[in-house]
Amino acid sequence: MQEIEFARAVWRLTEAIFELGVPSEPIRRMMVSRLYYAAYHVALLLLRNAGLTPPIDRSIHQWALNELRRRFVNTGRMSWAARNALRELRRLRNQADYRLDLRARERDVRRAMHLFRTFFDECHRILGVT
Amino acid sequence: MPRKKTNRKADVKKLVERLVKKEFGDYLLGVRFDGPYEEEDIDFDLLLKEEPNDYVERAERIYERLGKAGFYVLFSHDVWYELEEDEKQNWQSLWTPVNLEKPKAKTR
Repeated sequence: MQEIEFARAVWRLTEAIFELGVPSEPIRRMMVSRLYYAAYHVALLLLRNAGLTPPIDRSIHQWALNELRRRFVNTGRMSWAARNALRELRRLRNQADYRLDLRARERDVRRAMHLFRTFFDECHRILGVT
Repeated sequence: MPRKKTNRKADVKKLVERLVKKEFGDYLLGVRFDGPYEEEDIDFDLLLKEEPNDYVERAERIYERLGKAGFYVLFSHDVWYELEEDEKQNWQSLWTPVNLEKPKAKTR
């Protein structure tokens, strides 16, 4: 599953960057953005595995959130917290990529990491990946 | 009835302000609107005094209500004690302070 491998690689990279010290602001923005997209690809994997075909347009992000709710949260297979984590991660990504006038803080990256783990760990469990 | 496109942003902001006051009440210090950037109607951030234990449930109710009104939004939050010193000094320029209306005392 390339989505899982990608997500793991992004996570390892994020941790490795912090081991070198507090990253510079452009790197912080990239970390938040990559964490969102890593989680987003895992969400699409989950939905494809459920037999769904994602739309090929910009509505795909909203579609993924809606379908996660319908197929996984409402059926008790995913927590509200996990789905909310993906949504909040997207909000942080928007801010990191579009609001250059607002400083991307270390806490934004830490929060993005926490949200990523909340979402990814549940997907991991649902997918039964080892 | 279809909403007038020109009023859409004003409508969603008004509804958001009402809902965040209702859900977060005394936890709420400020709101910052921005966007929309992609397909959402608006983005916003909340500044909270502290994070309530049931943050996710409260957030979900806001999303639910906005979704029923036909709006797609994204929001996140910051908590006062996590702010850096420069943000604490200038928080009112980064978030719009929220005035929570207290019930008016009855006059005789």
